[in-house]
Amino acid sequence: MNDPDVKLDAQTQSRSRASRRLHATDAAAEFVVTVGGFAVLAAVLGICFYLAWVVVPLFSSGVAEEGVEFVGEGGEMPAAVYMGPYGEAAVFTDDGWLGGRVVGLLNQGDLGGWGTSHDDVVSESSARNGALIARGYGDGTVRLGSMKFSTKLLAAGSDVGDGVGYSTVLEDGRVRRVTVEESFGGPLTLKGGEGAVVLVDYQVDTTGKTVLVALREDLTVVVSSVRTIRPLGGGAAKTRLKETSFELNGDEVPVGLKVSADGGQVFVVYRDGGVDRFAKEKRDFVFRERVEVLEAGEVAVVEMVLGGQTILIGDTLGGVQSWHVALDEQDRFGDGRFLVRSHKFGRMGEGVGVVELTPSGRDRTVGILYSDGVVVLRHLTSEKTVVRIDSDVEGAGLVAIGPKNDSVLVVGDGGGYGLYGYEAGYAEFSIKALFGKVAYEGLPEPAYVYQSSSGDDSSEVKLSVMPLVFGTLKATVFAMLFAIPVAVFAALYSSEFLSKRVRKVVKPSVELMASLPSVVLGFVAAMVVAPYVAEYLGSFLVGMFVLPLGVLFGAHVWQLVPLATRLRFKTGHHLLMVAGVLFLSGVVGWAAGPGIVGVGFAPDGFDRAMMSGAVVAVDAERVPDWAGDAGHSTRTQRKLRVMDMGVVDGVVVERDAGVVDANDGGLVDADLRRWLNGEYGSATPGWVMACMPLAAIGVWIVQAFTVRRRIDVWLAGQNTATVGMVVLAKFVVLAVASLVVAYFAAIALTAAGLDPRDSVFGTFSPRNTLVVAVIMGFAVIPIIFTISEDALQAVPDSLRSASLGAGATKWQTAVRIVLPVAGSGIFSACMIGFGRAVGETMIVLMATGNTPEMSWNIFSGFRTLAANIAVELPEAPKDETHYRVLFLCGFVLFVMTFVINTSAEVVRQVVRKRNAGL
Amino acid sequence: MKSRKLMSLVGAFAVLPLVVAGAMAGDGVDPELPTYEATSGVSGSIKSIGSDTMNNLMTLWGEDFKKFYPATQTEVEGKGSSTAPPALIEGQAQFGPMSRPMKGAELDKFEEANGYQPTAVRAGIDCLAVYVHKDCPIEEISIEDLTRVYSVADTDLTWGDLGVDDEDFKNRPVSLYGRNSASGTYGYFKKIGLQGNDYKATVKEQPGSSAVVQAVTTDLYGMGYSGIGYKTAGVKAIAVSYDGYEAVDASAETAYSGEYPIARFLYLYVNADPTTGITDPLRAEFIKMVFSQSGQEIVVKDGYFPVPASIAREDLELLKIGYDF
Repeated sequence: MNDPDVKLDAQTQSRSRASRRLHATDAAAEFVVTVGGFAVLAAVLGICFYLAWVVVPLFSSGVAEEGVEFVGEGGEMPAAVYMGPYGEAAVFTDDGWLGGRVVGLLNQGDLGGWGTSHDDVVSESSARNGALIARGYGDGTVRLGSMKFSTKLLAAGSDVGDGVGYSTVLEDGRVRRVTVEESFGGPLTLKGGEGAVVLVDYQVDTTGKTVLVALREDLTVVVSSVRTIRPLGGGAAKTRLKETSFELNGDEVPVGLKVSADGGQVFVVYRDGGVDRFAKEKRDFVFRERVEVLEAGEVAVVEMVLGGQTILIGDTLGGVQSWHVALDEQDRFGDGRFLVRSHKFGRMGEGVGVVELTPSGRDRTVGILYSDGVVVLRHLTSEKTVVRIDSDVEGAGLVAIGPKNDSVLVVGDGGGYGLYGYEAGYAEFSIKALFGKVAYEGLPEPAYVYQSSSGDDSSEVKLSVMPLVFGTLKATVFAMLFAIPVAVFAALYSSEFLSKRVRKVVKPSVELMASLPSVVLGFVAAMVVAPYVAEYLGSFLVGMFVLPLGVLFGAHVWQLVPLATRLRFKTGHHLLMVAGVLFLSGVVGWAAGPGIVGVGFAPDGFDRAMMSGAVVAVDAERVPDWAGDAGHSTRTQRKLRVMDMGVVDGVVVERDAGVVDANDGGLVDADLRRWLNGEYGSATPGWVMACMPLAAIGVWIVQAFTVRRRIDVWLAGQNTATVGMVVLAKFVVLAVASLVVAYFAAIALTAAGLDPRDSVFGTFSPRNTLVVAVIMGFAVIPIIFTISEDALQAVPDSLRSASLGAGATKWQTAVRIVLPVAGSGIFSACMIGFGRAVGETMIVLMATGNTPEMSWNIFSGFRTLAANIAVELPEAPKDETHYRVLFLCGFVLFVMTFVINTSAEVVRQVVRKRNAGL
Repeated sequence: MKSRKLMSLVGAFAVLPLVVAGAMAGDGVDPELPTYEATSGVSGSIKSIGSDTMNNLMTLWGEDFKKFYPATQTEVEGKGSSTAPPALIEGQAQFGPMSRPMKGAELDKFEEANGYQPTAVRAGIDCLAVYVHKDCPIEEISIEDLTRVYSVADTDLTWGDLGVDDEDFKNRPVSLYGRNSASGTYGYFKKIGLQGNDYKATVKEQPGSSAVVQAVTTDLYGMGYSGIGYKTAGVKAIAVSYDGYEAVDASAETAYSGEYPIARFLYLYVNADPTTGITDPLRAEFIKMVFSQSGQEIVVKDGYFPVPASIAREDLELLKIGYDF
């Protein structure tokens, strides 16, 4: 073509021009498609890298910056140190308190103090909580005070005012003046006990109520709480004071005394590691529990973490433990609570003990000062080591963390100190904190909890992603359980049984379902469907069983109609008839629902007796051995229920035979919601419902292998009418048989002490998974339907013809020939639907209560990764831990969807290659 | 913020309680607040991102502002108080309404970005009410019981555990409704009503203050918390007691006196350098309007309680806006 020697005639020339044009267009199109493909790939990879880029910093730990160390010129170690903001200054006070010195640590040295006269009486004990200080004295009085740093921004050159403090000139010339405001009240006499105040503790709870606890020389503990009411409209603050006291056990003087912030628990720590817990009972404190926290060594330091619920105990061998109070289901100590250890940090080295512990005022970071001068900052919840500082301060004895979590001050005896800045990084994050069970404050054992933020600093941030992952899986599993059978069988019917004319109408209508925006679906689910289901729960559940049975029954009845009449109807009419049967079944289910539920879930005599209290204790001989008088766990109670016995207040009881027609405590009829809540009733009706589908499948399989061959052989010789009757009869028998099998299975399971209310059923919530699963079907079914239908259509007609020609019916062809060949396409469709369900946000957001709970209960809510991101991203400050954790949720979602789609595509390719020859 | 609150209380302490009490008669706006008069030269658009509780308030203020200055436009986005600090830091909004004070971490982030802390303008007073269905027999509840029913400090409670004897309610579990974690109402209720404990995982999160009330209206066994301004005819707000003292209803008097345990200020956070105050006339005039008769009447109209003139004066001084009352 390009040979210059060949002379081309006009026609060839025009043809070659045309084909050049064609080639050019071809090449251009190929180029655009290739570029487009690469661009898509690049975009997806770009998203992946961006997500990873936001998430990766979470794994880094804190960074310690350069420190400033100041060698002392002699003198004593101060009794307490209070750090100012911005890591620039600190106040050192001694035991006399009234003298304090402000030290500017930027090599400014002493900046002066106040109150040069020292108190003659030296305080025996002191406690501080943020800005609040309490000091106990030898004469049995307590004085309360506060030490605050207040910051003011002033224009350049303005008057800095009086007061002890320091100024820093900022970049733009403005002056930042930090002044120390301290106040100290007069002595408060304690009413209980005698002698000096040996130990004192002072806590504030979130409502502003303060609690002061003091131990006097005669081992009496005095607890007083102060509630200050501050009128919002302005005016005098009113204070209300309440005081009580109690005696310690034994004669030993404890080494630590702490009170919880709500004033309900007092902890007394002894040197050998014994901890006594006293709990508040109305107005007095009662001794409840003693735990031994140490196996070796002695207690060195006792501190309370921010929030006032967890105590930290550091021992002389270098170990640090944290303990908190949690609910005790077994009520071993009488007040329903017990001490549980939440975290334990091991030793740092041989012979290294803990010298001082200090909590951060901003979050759950704690600073641990060891006897070799090393300071380790650890975040309690995530157990992450935030930063480790090797200080060279002589005789280090005091440590403090700056208020903004940006600096650490170590003070030694001899007047020396060291100031170290640090970057906290993302202290709340660790792999264990996000993906493992963590011992959170207030919980009896490690658990998965997600509660990412709140309105104040003192609450513990709980970032476990597991409830979210669980919620995502739960939503997807239930949605797929509903959507896959419906969509795949609809596609099968549409592809194999519908005429082309009807299919042309049906297929676009189903695809129209996909055009509904998910916000609208979510809104409809929350506002219309959920209240309806809550109102007519029985009808809804019964309807779910009646609908498929009704359609099958209708199909069998249809067989009885003479062949001639049957042939007159076309596929369009078939569809209408199926719709009519569906509607009829729905009506039957809706009408029969309350009746069936009323019979199945009716409370029996035992239930009525239990609800009204007409019960009497069972004689000891008749109580079975395995019930005994141990904890009466839920499992034991269920097994007892089978024998018509129950447990009330730890005593095994049965129905009082003497009381006839007990007043049933307001429970007259069966109430499905109350049954689900576990208020009454045995597990049998629930198991019948749960076992029905499995029983039906089981019965069908059994008859397929045993009876069916013989019946089919016998039927081959009969006429159509007889066949129709026999098959209908067989269907009815099988349906009844599956109900019977389900019933017996239910009885067996109930007798074993299992109850569906522990797993798949449970307390009913109006915003539940059932509603969401059905509505998500709307979103997912069109996708699966379209792709499956295309896959089925792609099966070559020659296969169908061959099968029909060999004598198979349409149904046999569809199920045994077409479906397996199109199997890979259908699998792919299901996976794509799965991917869509995993990422569905708006339906879940609006139709569930977004409760991050981990239970398979179909009647409870859940929270998914996608909904969590949607709800929480606006409130997460940019580039903070919470923000990055949300991106981590997105990354997890991305990986899940990517893996599912890729594996689906690989399977599809493999199977397609295998079927290529067909 | 705490030091400012302390300062304002010390200042308010100087005011005779009688004067305050007289001014606070009933729900009326403090007569000392001035009537707002429009000035010239104010135009522009105002964007507010923050509290859902104050959504209606901001919208009504915006409309009122537009009446004075037709050249202005107000956009209100109320997804929850926790969305205000990030928006103010990024400069996306001029006002950040919040129904709780900013926490230390948020103040720090703001300070890192701007060099000074944000200013909180106390624009209204709200009582956080505990709502139950209007047919529910319970009349009062204590903070301790609220902690038990809403938080992980106790297991799932029934209405009988709260002292209800009615047969229809005694054995039913309490169905709990609340807000999501972006909400200042959520954070404030956690701090005071739950005394710092965590919420149970079974508390159903509703997207807004009115959604909580709406959910309780349709759920006979429901309980929810929301601002007093969202009360409808289908619910009733029950009295709250604390620490063994008498239960107190949510009203203007109990909010002002501090007897109602869960009363709070409604804040309007602004980005204002403390050395210069607010310099641009758009925001200055908006705040002056908020602290005027018409602005506080809107607060009353929305169901909340107005601030007294003393608080208005303090906040205007902090922002270095001139006033003459």
